[in-house]
Amino acid sequence: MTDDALHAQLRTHVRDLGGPPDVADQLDLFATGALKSMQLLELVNRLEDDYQVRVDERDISAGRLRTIASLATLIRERGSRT
Amino acid sequence: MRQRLSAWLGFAAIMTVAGVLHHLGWASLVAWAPRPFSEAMVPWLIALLVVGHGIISLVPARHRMSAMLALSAIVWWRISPALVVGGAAWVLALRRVLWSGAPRALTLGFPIATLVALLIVCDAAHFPRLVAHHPWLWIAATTFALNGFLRTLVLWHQARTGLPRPSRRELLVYFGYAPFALVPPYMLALPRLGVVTDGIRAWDPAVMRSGLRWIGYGLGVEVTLVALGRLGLDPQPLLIDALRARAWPQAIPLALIVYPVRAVFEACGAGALVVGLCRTSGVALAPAFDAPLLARGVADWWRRYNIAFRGLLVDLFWMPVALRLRRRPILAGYLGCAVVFLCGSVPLHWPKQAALHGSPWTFPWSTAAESVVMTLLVGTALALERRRRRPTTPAPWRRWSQRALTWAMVCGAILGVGYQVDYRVRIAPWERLAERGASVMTATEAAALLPAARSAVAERPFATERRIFLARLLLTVDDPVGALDELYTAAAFAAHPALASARPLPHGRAPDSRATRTR
Repeated sequence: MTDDALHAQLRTHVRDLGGPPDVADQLDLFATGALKSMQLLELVNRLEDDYQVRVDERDISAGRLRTIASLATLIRERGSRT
Repeated sequence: MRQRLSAWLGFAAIMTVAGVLHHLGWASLVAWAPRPFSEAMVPWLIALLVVGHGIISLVPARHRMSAMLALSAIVWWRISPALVVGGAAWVLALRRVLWSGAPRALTLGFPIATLVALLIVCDAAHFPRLVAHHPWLWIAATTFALNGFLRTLVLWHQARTGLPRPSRRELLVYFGYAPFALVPPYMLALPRLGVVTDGIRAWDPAVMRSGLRWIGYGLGVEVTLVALGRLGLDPQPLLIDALRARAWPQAIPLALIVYPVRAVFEACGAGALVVGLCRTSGVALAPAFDAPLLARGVADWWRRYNIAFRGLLVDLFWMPVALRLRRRPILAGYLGCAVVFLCGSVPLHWPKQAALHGSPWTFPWSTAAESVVMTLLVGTALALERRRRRPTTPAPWRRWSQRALTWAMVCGAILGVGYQVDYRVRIAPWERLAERGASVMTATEAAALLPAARSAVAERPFATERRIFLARLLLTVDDPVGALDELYTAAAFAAHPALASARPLPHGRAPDSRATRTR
């Protein structure tokens, strides 16, 4: 999957979870209120179901779920590992 | 360099104004927490901070951390040399423990053991002589409870989630950070290590100028609150009078005003001062409050109120529970909230109370009661928020009615539940006891009141009036030695400059009004 396609899919997830329709790659989804704590849980579920990646507390604490770009990087890294 | 110097001149000017307002009683630099030093120390600390900031503005970037470390050491040395020596040794030990490779849960034992040990040795309920003769024990305990413990938890969480071992200098600056000597951060400023170290290295003039605005805002709130108090318009004493007289038509509207004035503006003012002090030294700290009165729902309020402490609670308590239960989001929401409020917020309020009053018998019942209500409110709000995913922009009248409803619900939780529990558990028994004690004439009557009087003293060991009350009862039961002992202890506590000014009366309020609530 190309980077653009992955980013587009992630934007769709964010929109489905109640985020704004067109999210910039570097927008902080949580600091800006685009997503909230309950949506974070659902986002983690979707990442695990759709991309077969495991997400833990360290990823959240390190801010790896904060932007579309960091989410894509996480999926690329974990995807290539699994 | 020019911008830094102009920001420093602004800092010097606003800190001079703050010092003068503090001296005149028009603003309390820390109205909500005790400081482990006498009021006479305040001008010294302000002067040291101003001179230190000026020097740090001049030195090259690579020396700023060392300069801040030197300033912090000087400032704390002025308060207590023992704190500098003991504190530095403790910080270096913490560095070894947190990054020792031991299981993280075990490494948490070190700061908790430190806290427990300090709370035991500053326990003026059980060891009044020890605390009276060695008040630095209380100084160390309050400093750790209000200044270090919560930041230790922040650091522990960072270490747990992969922060590499920082240098000794970084860690000493993080815990010694000079501005926190003047205004204890407690739960209003809990920066991550990198925010402090990066900010000091960058010493960004734009961040420093924003800090001046925050300090100005904080002072403005403080002056307004003092003015309300001096004009007799502080709603809290009026509310207490109305509640005592059971005058409900006056009490209900006053209750709705007390919440924003006391629970919000007072906290926002203190938070603004802490955030401003950090920002004036380049540390880009996020606001402690984000206009909580504009919240349009309880979950929104929770996200806007006391943001630093909420962040810590979310990291330590919500995230582990909610992530494990993420396939059952509603349960995750409720259980996460229960853990955050009941297992997180309540126990983390206790050490401050215990150190502040020098007594372990200070369980924060009001916080516990509020937390039960807030668990239900926030858990339900999160569940509703999850169902109503798409954010809407309702008509203005609807937005304001949502704000009013949120205000009423939070007000109900804090005033209707928290204040009531506080009054019934802590204040009313003492008031009844004092009333009964006033008419005691015989030794039998006095003996019957002695256990309750001893409990009242154990709950507030530094309270002079309670010890005098107990001494009077002891004299009545023919125990002059016991009475003298109580009077001696009361005098020893009152004579120590730090202990005597441990609870300055902020905003010119009457003593009985503030006695109703000490959070």
